[in-house]
This record gives sequence, structure tokens and C-alpha cells, in this order.
Amino acid sequence: MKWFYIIALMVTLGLASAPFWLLKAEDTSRFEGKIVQYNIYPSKVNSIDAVTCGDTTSAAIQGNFYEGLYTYHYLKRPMEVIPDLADGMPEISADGLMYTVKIKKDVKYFRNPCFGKESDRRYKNRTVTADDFVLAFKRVGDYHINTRLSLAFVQDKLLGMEEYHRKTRNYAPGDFSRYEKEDLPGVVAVDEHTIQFKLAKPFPQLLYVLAMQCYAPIPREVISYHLATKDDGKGGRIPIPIKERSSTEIRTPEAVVGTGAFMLTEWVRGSKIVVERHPEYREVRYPSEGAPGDREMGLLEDAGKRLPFVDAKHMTCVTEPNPQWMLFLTKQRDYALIPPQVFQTVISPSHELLDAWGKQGISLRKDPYPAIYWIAFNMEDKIVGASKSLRQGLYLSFDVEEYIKTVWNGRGKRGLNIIPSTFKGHKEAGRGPYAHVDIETAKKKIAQAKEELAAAGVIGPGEDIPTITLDLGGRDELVRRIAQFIKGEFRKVGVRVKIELNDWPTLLGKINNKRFQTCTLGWHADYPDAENFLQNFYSPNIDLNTNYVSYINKEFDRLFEESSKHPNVKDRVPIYAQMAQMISEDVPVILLAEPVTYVLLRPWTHNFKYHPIAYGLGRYTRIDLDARVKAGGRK
Amino acid sequence: MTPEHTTLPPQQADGGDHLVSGRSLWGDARRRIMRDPWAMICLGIIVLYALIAIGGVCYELAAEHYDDVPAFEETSDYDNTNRHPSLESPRFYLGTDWAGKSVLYKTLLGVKVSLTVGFMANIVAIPLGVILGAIAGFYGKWIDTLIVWLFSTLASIPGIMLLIALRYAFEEIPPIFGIIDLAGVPGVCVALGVVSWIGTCRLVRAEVMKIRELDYVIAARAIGTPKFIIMLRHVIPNVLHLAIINFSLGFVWAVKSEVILSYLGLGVPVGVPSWGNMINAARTDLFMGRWWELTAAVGAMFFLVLALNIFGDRLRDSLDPKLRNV
Repeated sequence: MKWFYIIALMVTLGLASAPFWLLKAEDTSRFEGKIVQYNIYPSKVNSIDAVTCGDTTSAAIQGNFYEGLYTYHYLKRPMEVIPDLADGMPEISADGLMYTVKIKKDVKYFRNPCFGKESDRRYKNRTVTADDFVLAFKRVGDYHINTRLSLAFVQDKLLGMEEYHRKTRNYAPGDFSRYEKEDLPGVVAVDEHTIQFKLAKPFPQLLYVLAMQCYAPIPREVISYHLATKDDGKGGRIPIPIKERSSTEIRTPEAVVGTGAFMLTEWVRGSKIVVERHPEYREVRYPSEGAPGDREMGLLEDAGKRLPFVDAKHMTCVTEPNPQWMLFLTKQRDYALIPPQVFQTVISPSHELLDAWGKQGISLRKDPYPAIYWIAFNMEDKIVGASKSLRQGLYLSFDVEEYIKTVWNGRGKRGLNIIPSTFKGHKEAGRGPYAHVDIETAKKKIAQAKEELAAAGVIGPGEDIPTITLDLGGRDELVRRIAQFIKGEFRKVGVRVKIELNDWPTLLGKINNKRFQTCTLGWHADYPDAENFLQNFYSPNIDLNTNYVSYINKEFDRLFEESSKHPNVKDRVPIYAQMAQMISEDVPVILLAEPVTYVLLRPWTHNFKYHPIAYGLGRYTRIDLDARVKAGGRK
Repeated sequence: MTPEHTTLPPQQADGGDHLVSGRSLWGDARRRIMRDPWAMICLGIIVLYALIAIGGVCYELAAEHYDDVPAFEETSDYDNTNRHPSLESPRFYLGTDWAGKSVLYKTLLGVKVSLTVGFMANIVAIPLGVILGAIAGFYGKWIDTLIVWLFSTLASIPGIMLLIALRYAFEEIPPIFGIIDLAGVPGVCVALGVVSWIGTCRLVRAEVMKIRELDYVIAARAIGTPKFIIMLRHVIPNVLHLAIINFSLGFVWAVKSEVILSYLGLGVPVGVPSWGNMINAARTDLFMGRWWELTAAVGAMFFLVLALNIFGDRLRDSLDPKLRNV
């Protein structure tokens, strides 16, 4: 019996102490002597293939290793497009239908087994050619790859893209010969370092689209090696029969062959990502010009120096805001956003950093975020879609300022029209007629709506507006507060709301299938042009699901088409303003907030400037390792 | 035969100089409960909660029909958000939440949801458990095998996982008859009921297997009473005390589960004042030192659960003859 107790005690102690024995600390010896930037990413990375990128987290990660033809100037505001892989700005034909782009000749891919081996047994690499861009655009149009977002921007714009998409459907998914057999007349390699884009219709925003990294070049070798062959177990490769090729997309870190400043060296799904300096990264230097105030903030101290400044970036997946914040407090991260629940302990009522944080050397950066959040109405719905008065009444009942103050800690400003305030056309469009609170008028509008709906036979005479269903994406506390706030605001005018919380895929499914009545959503700019917001209401885009509210206005459509005929933005602005006013009047969406981001920086983090559109600008950030170690941060 | 036949023989009292009349199981249990001060205190607390819940229902009906009575969701006061508890006004006794709503009122309205869920979940679970348990125990053979297989299978799935799965499944179901919306509180009740009948079923089955061999059941069979009637009139009434005990204990489980489901975002709908929603909301507020919403919800739940547990224990002691002398 005595032994029983002794063994039981030992087993208990063993189990209790098991985590300390069995859980190994991460091996960071390979980072010895290197400058590593530590950060987090807030949700799972869904894609490491440029063409399938459809979410901001994936885009931010991919920005480290993929690059497009163009990018944005890191410091200048308003935003300015500059060449990245392109060798200069494009030559545009007089009719605006042909763009000719020269490619830099010194851009090298990462070394990868797909290129073969050097005599010293290192893997080979090669320089980027125009054909790699042609292949990238062919993959965008590939029916067998889920390229919804990257395809949406060019589907009806690039000559022959829709036809190419249709033709590739006839091939088996694993039959990659379609990339050679089918032509895409809209993207042509003129010579090894010149590419030509031919448009089906004028699209003055093409330059912005070419600044997206989802159109990054891809070598044909990657497809042939990583997707069409497999290890034979003897150190060689054997072809995979077409029917057995399981993937048309890049899903393993070994198959990521980019040109960026960092190479993907480790990806533990849903847990950790490590990117390390690309040793043969071409010569890219820190800008020597910036926006007013940048010099004073020390953002030009590294002007002219070669990029990147850090050797590696170590990112862990932390989805909850509290642990994200704790990692910043314990100096495990170099910069952080401020979670709403601690906002008041960090930021003063005048929206400045509280002294206690400033004394620790922490600094605050506030930057407008080119997005607008809104409550969208399904215009096909027999209640909210049928009655303009109802939508106008609900808009007038909604205290957006209070919403921003209460739910968003004041981190934003009211959206006055569908064009963000930092974009051209916003000022000209002016404040929408319903973008203010007026409960009395709202009640009159609701009464009018009841009459309209009764006349249409949707409700009986004297009946109330039926309960409206509001779908939201997410189940966290912030989403629940948004839902409760909206419910309370609409109740002021006697309209009841039923809340439905969904996870994101479910909400998107409902939206794509038009199975929603109202929902909260928004739009983050893909490029700094009002057209990017207005296209959400262009009726041919209903089929593409970008106009998911199903707004139809023939005059709006006419103006939208008219605007694309003007290559000069100044000529487009008055048209944009007119279109924005139509949206303000018809209220397919109730505009809520244009957000402002608040980023806290540790004192050892230099050159950090938030960019509202571009991803992959981490190459500009510099970490003072000595200062970080001295302050008790990570080595 | 009725439950009266199972009563104890007449007992002697007051020194045994005269005989008292016989008492039924129920009458005896009632007498024992009423003599137990703790049981009566707990019953008082439960009744108080029930009255608060009825008050909550009355308030909601008034808000529905009278314009001058604001609905709870209309009571936001953005000038008084996140206020500490104070004696300034009854509204502030337990402080206010992020939208300036009174935490005291929210806690009181939460009683309605908790009691509704606790009651309705057991209304689903107990009859299901008793009927299936009685059928399995009484008829035996393949029916017993089938029912045992059913509850064994269900019991092998972790309860909380099954609950979550059912809640997700209910979200896709349109309202039944346009009234019963399984995506809301009724769905929580049904899900809890569907998950929690197994314990009752097992107990009742075992008890019925014992009862069916007793003399009075054999006698009933001998005189040709149909099996179904025997089960209905002579067996089930004798296991009802188990149902009542399980009802009180299941109530506690349902209240706690509603809180867990709401904490996970799968409980009662957003905006409906419930303790689970309050705890969920307070999760982030604790970071800021706002303790009052969590404290109020947990405190309210603590007293109800404690009262129900103690009362359930005493009820079991009173109704189970075997435990009387323990």
C-alpha cells in the first residue's frame, strides 16, 4: 500500500510538471546575431498563392515575398504609384486601351529546386521575364483556381480574359498545358522584358490594379515542378498523372517563389510564420522624399539606405485582442493596435497618448484608413428594397456620431458620402441629405414607408413595418455591441430588428446568394480612386457580387461608364460627385464610419508609417536591436 | 393501484399513545420539506426569483403595448456609460454598462431568461426521460435495447459539443408555424432539453425494471390489466419522485448551460438581457477594471443555483424513502 501512495504521488507530480519538461522553447539559435522583427497576425492565413489572395491577413503576409509591377510610395501622401518590378511608368496609347510596361532586368526569384542545381549544389534561380507576368495573368483567369478577387478587377477589362476563363473550364484541373495552348490576348510578352496590356474598354485605374501584388509574376518552373511532379524517393522527381494532380494552387512554403525582400522559410498553419531576408534582393533604397512632417518625425533618417533593414520577421497567429495587447505590454512585439477595451487607458479624451505611455518611449501614430463601414440594404428585398422612405427614415434615425464615440472609442469620423474623405470627389459630392439625425423627420418617413408598403400590398393597412433582419459577421463582443446599438437606434422610430450573428463564410454566403435583408459591411479601398467605391453600385456588377446590394439605377450606370472614358482624374471628379449624390439620395447603404487607425510603437521601432492601401512595406521598417535588448525586449 | 398504496404503515407519534392516520409519499415529503428551515429559505429564494421573472414578463408586455414604457433596448444612456455602482438612483445601484443601461435592471430581466430556459428545458427533458425510461424498463427486449442504444450513443457525445452543434443546426431552421423561432430562446430550451434527458431516462429505466417485478404489478397483470395501462397507472406514478428531483437538479444545469452558451455567443439573441450575455460582455470590460456587470450576473446566478441545489437535495431526501434515515 505504501508503494501505491508513493507511485501515485510520483505520477501526480510527473503529470503536473510535464508541461515544463515536455514543452520545448522555440529554437531561435538560427536568429543569433540577426535583427528579427516580432509581430503577430490576427487571423489564419488562407492563401500563400498570389492569385488566390482574398483577405487582408494573407495579403499582408504575401507582401513580404510577392511584388507587383508597381507599388505605392512609402511616405508620400496623397498616395503616389511608383514602379516596383516595372522599369518606369507605363506608356499608354492615345485611346487608353494599351499599356506597355518595361520590366527591370535585375529582379531575381528566390533560389528554389524548381530551377535545378548549381555546380556547388545550391539551388538555382533566375531573373523575372515578361512571360512570368503573362503566366500570372493566365492563372488569374484560370477557371480551376479560385481567383475571385484578382479576377474581379480585370475580368471584363483585359481583352480576352472572360473568354480565356471560359476556355480553361474545358481542361482537366491538373492539365497545366492550358497555359501554353490558350492565348490571353490582353496580356502579351513583347520581348523578354516588355509586357503589353490590351484593354477591352477604357480603364484608367489599371495602374492601381497593377500595383496589387496578386498579379505578381510566377515562373512556369514552379507549376511544372511543384504541382505536376513529385518526389520519387530516390532524390529525383516523377510526373504526377494529370488526374492525380491534387492542387492547382500553391499551398506549401517550398513552392513560394517570389521576388520580394523576404523569403517564406517557415509556415505552421494557424500558428507561426517566419520570413527571412532574400539574399539576392535587388537594390531598393529607402525614399529620400516624404510627406510634410515626415522629416520632423525622423522618417527620413535612413534616406538612400538599402532595404530591407531587418534580417527576419517572426509572426505568430494571435486572434484574441487581449493576448495581442499583452504581447505588446511585455515587449514581445514592436508595435500594436490598441484594443477597444483598453483604449481609454492609453488615449486621452483629446485623442492623444497619455503621458504614462509616452514616458516609456512609446509613440502613437494616427492615420486615416481608406474604408467606409455601412449598413447595407438588399434592394431586392420586398420591404427594405421596396421603400426608399423606409431606408431614408432609418438613416435619419441613426446617430452615427454617437455610434463612433460609443462603439469605436471615437476612432473614426462620420462617412458623409460614399467617397472616403481622403479621395478626390468627396468634397464635391458634399454631405448626403440624410447624413444627420432628425428623429421627427425620420418618423414621418417611416409613416410614409408604411403607406407605400401598404399600397404595394406588402403589409396590411395600418400595420407596422415587419421586423427587419440584420446579419452581422462575427460573434465577438464588438460585433454584439454594434448589433445592439443598431437595434436601439432603429427602435427609436418603431422599427424592430432581429439580429443574426454569423461567422464570416456564412455571412458572405448569404450575401452572395442574396439571402439577407440588411447587413453590416463596408469597403476597404483597393486603390485610391473613388471608382473603387462606386463600382459597388454599378448594376452589371450584381453578377460579380461586388454590387451585392443589387442597386440598379440606369443613370448611375451611364455615368459610371462615362467616367471610365476620362483618363484624367480631374475630369472624372464631377461625374463621381454626381454618382455619389445619387447613392446619398437612394440610400442603398447607411454610411457609418470612416475609421482611423491608432498604432503604438516601441521606441526601438523606426521608419514605421502606416500605408492605407499597400501591403508588404515591412521592408522599410528598422529595428534598433540594442535598444530593444536594453529595454528588456527580445534578442 | 395508486401511489397511496406504497405509503409507509401508520406511524406512532407523540409517545405512541394514539395512532395517526396514514400519509401519502407526497404528503409526507411536503411535511418534511416544510419542517426543514433551509429548504424553506431556498424555496423562498426560488419563489422570489420566479416573481422577479414574472415582473420581467409584465414589463416586457407593457413595453410592447404602451408607448410611454420604454423597451429595455431603448434605455441606453450614452452620457452615463460604464458608471460605477452608486446610490444616486436605483438605475445606478449596480452601475451601468457600455451603453449606459442599468446593470441592476439588466440583472433582474436576466432572471426571466434563466428561469424560462431552466423550466422549459426540463419540460422537454423530463417527460422525454420519464417516458422513454419507463418504456425501456417496462417492456424490455428490443425496445429496451433500442432506447439504451439511443441514450448511450447520445451520452458518448460530449454534452457541450452536442449543444453547440444543435444550436448551429437550429440557426438554419425557419420559425416553426412562424412563431417558434429555434434560433432564439426556444432553440436554447429545446437544445438543452434534447441533451439533458439521458440521466432521467437511465434512472427511471432502472427503477421501472425494479417496480415491474413487485407484487402489485404482478397482481395487476394477473387480473388481465393491459400492459400499457399498468405502466401508465401503476408504474409511472411510482417513479415521479425521480422526475421531480431531476427537474430541480436539471434546472441548475440548464441555467448554467444557458450562461455558457451565451458566453460562447450561441445562447439567447443579442440584446436580450441574460446573465450569459452579461458575463460575455464583461469579459472584455474586466480588462478595464469594470467588475460590476460580471459580479451582478455571477451573484444572481450563484444565489439561484445554490437555492436550487439545496432545495433539490432536500427534495430528494424527502421523496426517497431509502435516504430518510441517512
